[in-house]
Amino acid sequence: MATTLQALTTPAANVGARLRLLRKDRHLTQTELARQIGIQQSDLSRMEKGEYRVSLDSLFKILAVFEVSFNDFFDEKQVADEPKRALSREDMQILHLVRELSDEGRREAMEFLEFKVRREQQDRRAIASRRESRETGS
Amino acid sequence: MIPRFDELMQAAEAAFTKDDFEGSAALYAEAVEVARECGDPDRADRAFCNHCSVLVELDRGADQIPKLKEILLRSSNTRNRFHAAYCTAVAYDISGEGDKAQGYADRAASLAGELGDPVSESRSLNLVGNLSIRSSKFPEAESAFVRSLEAHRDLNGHHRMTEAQVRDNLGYVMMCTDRLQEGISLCEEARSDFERIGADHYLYETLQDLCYGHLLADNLDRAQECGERALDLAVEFEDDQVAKNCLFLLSETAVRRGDTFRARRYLRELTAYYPEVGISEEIIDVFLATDLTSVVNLRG
Repeated sequence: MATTLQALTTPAANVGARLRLLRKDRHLTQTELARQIGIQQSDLSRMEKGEYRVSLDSLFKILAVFEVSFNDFFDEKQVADEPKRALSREDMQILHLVRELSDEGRREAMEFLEFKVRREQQDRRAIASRRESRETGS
Repeated sequence: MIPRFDELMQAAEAAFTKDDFEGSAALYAEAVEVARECGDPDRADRAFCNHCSVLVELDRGADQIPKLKEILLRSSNTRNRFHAAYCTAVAYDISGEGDKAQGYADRAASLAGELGDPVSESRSLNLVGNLSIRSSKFPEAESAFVRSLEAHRDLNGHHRMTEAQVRDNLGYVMMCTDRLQEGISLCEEARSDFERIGADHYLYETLQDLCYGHLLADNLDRAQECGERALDLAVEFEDDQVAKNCLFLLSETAVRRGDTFRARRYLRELTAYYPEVGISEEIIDVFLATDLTSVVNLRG
């Protein structure tokens, strides 16, 4: 009993519970999913309870089966937007530089900036989410 | 005829130790024939079991499972029954039938106990432990490794290499069951044994386990050092499984340092091992966002 209670609060149990939900969403039985991942049904059942650890190979198979995205596989933590700030001298300098560019150059710069912003947001969210998990001990 | 049998057995064993598996298999097969011509079923069974252990190395052991089971049921020779059970376990393991492998490994360990032979006992208990780890049965694995080390105690320092392997295995189990310092100490002992013997082909898995232990203990510098060395050796010895594990552990080490740039670099290298998935930034995000150290089995 102690093992089961402990398992419910571990990261492995959280991942297992999420996996179970995804499997049910896709109307897959444990036997079907276990076959696709290449593990035994009894092991998948234990994995959903947080009692079975998978190899990296099996983990990648799971991610491939569910064509997983960050949002799908794990509960994404919403990070509050950063407060709006007045434009700094450096911000103004960037704007002036962008104005010097051709339309094509502006489009490319915009794409690059959007990519960088998205990437940094993801990284910040990832680190914040993990810090929170560690602090709450889950 | 018996001297001919002994000659063949010795030559087969010599070929095996030189990694000439095909040559060794042919010599053991000839020894089986010689023993059968002499009407000596015990010798024939012994040569056949050795033949099967070579076939297992050549990934052709599964075909022999029915004959091995027959020896296990029919023979009155405990040593031959032990060999038959051990080979059957390994053949099932390679075929991916873990539950069956476990059953035959348990049988081999029990027969080794009857034989009173510490080498066979420690070897079969190490197999029981490894199969248990693979299916995340850590208490069972721990019990098997502890008993395997006890059997080693009777060997007075002989077979140090296998003893170090068992110690490393037990260390990993302890790390997985929240006894980090004990686990790290055991793996450090194994590491120093492997370094003293010069067994780099065993050392890198121990370094991988030490990287894991130090990572969990928040000794990030030590984790990085062990992980990088393990990765270099795993690449040198073409062990993809350990190389992938090390990339995963090193990325986790980088994340805990807040260095997501470096973590992404390791994760891109890791995902390159999975062409069916491709280098997907979304999968890299999953690894960055989630602590998977208690989800992944490094011996899986």
